[in-house]
Amino acid sequence: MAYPQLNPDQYAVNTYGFIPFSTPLSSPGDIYESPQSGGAFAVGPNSDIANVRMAYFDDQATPGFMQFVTLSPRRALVGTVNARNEASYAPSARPGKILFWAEDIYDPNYRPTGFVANTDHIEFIAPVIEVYEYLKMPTSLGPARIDKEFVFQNYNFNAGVFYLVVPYYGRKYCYVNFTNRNQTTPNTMGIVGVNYAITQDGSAHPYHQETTIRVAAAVNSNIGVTQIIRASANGMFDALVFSLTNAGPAPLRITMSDDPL
Amino acid sequence: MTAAPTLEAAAGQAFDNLAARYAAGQLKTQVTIFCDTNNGLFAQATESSHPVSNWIAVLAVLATRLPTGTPPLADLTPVAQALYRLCWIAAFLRDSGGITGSQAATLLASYNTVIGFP
Repeated sequence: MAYPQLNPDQYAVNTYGFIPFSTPLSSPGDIYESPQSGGAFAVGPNSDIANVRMAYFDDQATPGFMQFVTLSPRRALVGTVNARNEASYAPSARPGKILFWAEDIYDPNYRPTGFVANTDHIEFIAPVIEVYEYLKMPTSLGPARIDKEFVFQNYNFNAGVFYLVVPYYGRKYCYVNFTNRNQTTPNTMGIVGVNYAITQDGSAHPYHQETTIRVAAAVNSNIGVTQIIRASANGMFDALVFSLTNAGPAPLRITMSDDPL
Repeated sequence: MTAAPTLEAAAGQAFDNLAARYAAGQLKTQVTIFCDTNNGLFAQATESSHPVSNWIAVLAVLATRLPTGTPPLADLTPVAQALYRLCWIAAFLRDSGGITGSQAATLLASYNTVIGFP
C-alpha cells in the first residue's frame, strides 16, 4: 500500500466487512487516513508495529476537536467511530477523517555502534503496520498478532560486517536459530536489541539505546547456535540487530511471539 | 545547533530543537507559528500531500493544547514525535513525487527559522 494509500471508499461500496490498512512503512512518518466510519479498530495479525495511534474528530475534544486513542495487540477499540468529513479539525481546517500512524518509533538511518560506513552493510526489514478498520461492529475479535517468522540463508555483501535489522516492537519472546553452512569460513554472529530515539544519526554519539544479547562470536562451519530472548530476562526492543561476517550460506530463523513463553 | 541541511536531518534534530524551545518557554508559540506558516502550503485538493497536511493538523492540535510558557515535560515528547514524523514523511514524499521540491524546501526553511534553535 504505502502511497498512494488504498481507497477505503471502495471497501464500503463493495460491502466488505473491514478495511485492511496493511503496508511496510515507507518512512517513519507514514500516516494513513480513512473517510469511512468504523465499528471497531484493531492491530492486524501481520503487524510488526505494536502500538498504533489513531485520531478522530470529536466535538468535545477541545481545543482542536481531535481525539487520540492507541490500539495495541492487547487492546482493540470496539465501538463506532465516525469519520466526520463534513467537519474540520482546528486550527488547520482539515477534514475530520480518521487518521492512523505508528506510535512506535522507526529510524532507517540508524547505524549500530561500530558501524564502518565505507565497508559495512546494513539492511532493514521495514516494519509492517497493519490496522483493520471494521465497517460494522464485529461480534468478536481474535488474538491480535501472529507469531512472526523471518527466515534468511544468504547475505548480500562481500566485505566488512553485515547488519540485519528486524522489527521487534512489543514482542516478548524470540527463538533464534543460526547455523553456519559455509564449509570453509567461520561466521561471527552477534545480536543486539535496539530502542530507537529521535537523534542526529551520523553524530558521534546518537541517542539510540543498544543492549547486547549475544556478544559477537565466531560460529564454525556446521555449528548451530540457539538463542532465546525473553522480555523478562533481556528486555523489550524496537528491533533486533543481527551482525554477520560471512555471506553464507547460514540459515537464520527468527520466530517471535507476543506471548512470554 | 546548526541549521538542518535536509528534512531527514531536521527530523533527527526535532527533539533537541524542541527541547531548547521548551527550556526557553517557546514550545507553544514556535510550533504554532510553524503550523500556521506551513498549513497553506499543502492544498487539500492535492491528495498526494495529505500525509504532510495531516501531520500539520495533528501538530497544530497538540500545540493548541499546550499551556503557554513551560508545559509539563511529558507534553514535549508527543510534539517532538509528531514533528519527527512530519519531517520524515515530507522527505519521503519529496523523493517520491507526492510533494514538490519547492514545497519541501519551503518547509525545511521554515523549520530552520522557526523550530531550529540557534
